[in-house]
Parts: sequence; C-alpha cells; structure tokens
Amino acid sequence: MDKTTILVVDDSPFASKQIKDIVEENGYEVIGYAKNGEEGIKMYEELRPDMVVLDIIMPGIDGLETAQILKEKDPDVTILMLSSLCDSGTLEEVRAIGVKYLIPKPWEDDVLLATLELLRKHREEHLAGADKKED
Amino acid sequence: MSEFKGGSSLTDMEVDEIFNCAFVSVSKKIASLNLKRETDGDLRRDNSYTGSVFTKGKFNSLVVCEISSDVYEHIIYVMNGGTPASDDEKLLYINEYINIVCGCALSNISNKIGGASRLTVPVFLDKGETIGEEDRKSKNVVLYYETDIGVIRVSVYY
Repeated sequence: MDKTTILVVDDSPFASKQIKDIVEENGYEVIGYAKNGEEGIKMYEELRPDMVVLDIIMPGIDGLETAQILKEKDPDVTILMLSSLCDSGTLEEVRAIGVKYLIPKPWEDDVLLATLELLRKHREEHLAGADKKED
Repeated sequence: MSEFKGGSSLTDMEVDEIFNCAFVSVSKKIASLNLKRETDGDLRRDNSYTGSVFTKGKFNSLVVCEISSDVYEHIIYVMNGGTPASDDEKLLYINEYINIVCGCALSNISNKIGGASRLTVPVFLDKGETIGEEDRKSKNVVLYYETDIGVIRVSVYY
C-alpha cells in the first residue's frame, strides 16, 4: 500500500524535524518542506501531496492565508494546521476557511497521529465518493 | 520599534500568571529546562540574547525575552535533538521557542478576554540595541527565572 504523502509548511526546523520523526515511523512519508506560505503553495502544485501540515505564524503570508489560497487552487486539499495559537477565536478562523483541525504547539504525538489518521480516512472517503459519482 | 497601543482588561497579576505558566510549562516540555521564578535579578547584557514579539489585536503587547548565552545554547541543543545547530539555524530554533511560549500565553489570554490576537514573528535585537522608550510607557510585568545554567528575563509591556 502506498504511503500517505505529506508536505510540511513551517519555518521552524524544530517543528519540521519533529513531524518527520513521528509521522515516518507511522506509515506516512514527508515529500517536501516549505519554509513559508509562498513556497508551500508552489510546492503543493509541484508535488501534489495527499496532505499538508501547515503552521500559522510564518514570515510573509501566514498559514491562514496560505490555506485559503490552497483551497482556492484545490478544493479537495487536505490540511492540518499546527500553531502555538489555539484559542477559540483562531479555531473559528481556521474552520471558516474550511480546515477542520488545528493542533496546538507543542503537540502530543498521539494527538498528531490520531488527527492525521482521521484526515486520511476523510480524504479516502471523499475521493471514493467522488469516484462513484464519475462512474 | 513601532509604537503600539497597549491595554487590556487583565490585571498585572493575571498577565504575570498567564505568562509565567506558559514559560514554565513550555520550557520544560520542549527545552527540558526547569525555570525557577525569582525576584528580578542581574542579567549580563553583554552575554545574553534579546528577542521581542508584538501581539496585536484584542491584547496588544510587546514581549521582550532576554536569555543568557548558556541557556540560549541549551534551548537550541535540546530542540535540535541533542546535537549542536548550525549558526544559520540557531535563531530559527530560538524564534520557535519564543513563538511557542508567547503563543501559549496569548491563547490563554484570548480565551480569557475574548476576541483574537496575533503574534508577529520574533525579532532579535543586536547586542547594544535596546527597546525604544515609546514602547515602555504602558503597564508592564517582569518575570525573572534562574536555571542551573543561566537566567531568563521576560518583560511584558501591555
């Protein structure tokens, strides 16, 4: 079975390394790292990962704007947002863009993995549903 | 430094408590650093790093974090998985440390007072550079910590 591929968009080498270490032990493959939103958007278009793990606070455009642009380019994009900001106002902003999950930094590894698994299943069901409609 | 309007409906004690909780818990979790709160003490400015972050929105503030050099190196070392980081990466690690701590504090503040606030990306001051006087006019709290290897002082102007 092909591994689920992930693009990490985060200016922090700490976060990128932690994400890589935990997800690659658990059946995922990180296929790219972007240090800011602009780079993330470009890499998404080039690599077409199954999921994007996206920080909010970054130099240049922030993660919320990046997510909005990704959604405009690909409404089926699957995004997990990570941030040190995890108050209810930020969560509302994230949901308003159409992103379901925001995990606070520093995260618990089991929470990160469980959320990625949920997203992976949502994505599979969504794509399976889309395939059925085409038949 | 650009001028900002401080102020919030929080008391000094509440701001102190929230930032204290954030610094102590996050420092332990991501940097294996045990912070011991002390009354304000000496921080040798020729041997320390100073980073600052603005928060903007419902809670406007300037957070200045002064870290003595051994503590600085320790934070980076632990966050880099127990290996030294390149000079290029050092600031990225410290920026992330400050980002996570301040984000944690700001999230608690936002949940308490309602509304939303944002953090700027942390900026480091060169040695000898200081915060502008216009940024010191608002209320402020100072948190001073000692560790086995050095000190951290946090000033929150709001």
